[in-house]
Amino acid sequence: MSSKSVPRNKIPWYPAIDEEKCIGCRECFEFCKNEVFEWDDENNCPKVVNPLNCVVGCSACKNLCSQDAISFPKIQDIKEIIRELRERKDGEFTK
Amino acid sequence: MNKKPRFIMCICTGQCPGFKSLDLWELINTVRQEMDVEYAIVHPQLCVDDGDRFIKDYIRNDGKYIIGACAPVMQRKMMKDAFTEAGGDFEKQVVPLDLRNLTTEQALAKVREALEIIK
Repeated sequence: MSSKSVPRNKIPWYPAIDEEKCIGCRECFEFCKNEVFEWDDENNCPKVVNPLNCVVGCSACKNLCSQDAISFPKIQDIKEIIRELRERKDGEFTK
Repeated sequence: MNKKPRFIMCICTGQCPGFKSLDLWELINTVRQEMDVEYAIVHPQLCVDDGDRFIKDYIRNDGKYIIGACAPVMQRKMMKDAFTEAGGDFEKQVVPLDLRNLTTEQALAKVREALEIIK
């Protein structure tokens, strides 16, 4: 999804981990090369440490998770946010 | 019927840092001009709904495909059903390549290797 004209920190797209469901298989951690996650050895589950490294529109980690322990915002909502931010003329982020 | 494989480069929206050391156009033009492929194309994101629609529309059940993208486990998970629905078989027809965090030369070497495998 094209969002280059909108600052990444304005787009709430990153994974959320349900530690209850996570079985510590590390698939998500090993798949993501963008260092969104760090492995939390104590709780044996991934921790989102660089949320803005996550590629807007990519939910590969969620797709790989066999336990449905990873969630993302609805893509339609994100598209709406990006559209609104792009249309906003005064552009809070252009100051 | 042309038995040459087709090369698809999936570039994950073009914003994934995993591909930042790869010159996409150098890769795709070298593959299509210098390698024994039917042709080489780029798709922005095969693993989401429009990628699904593309595969179902595009896949021939007798074609061979080399797909440069992210991890093969992910490619398999995300595309297997679409291949089946299109009358194909991901396992038999595709050589999936993880081309993230590679230079263009390293990626080209992987494509060459895949061409040997897929023959």
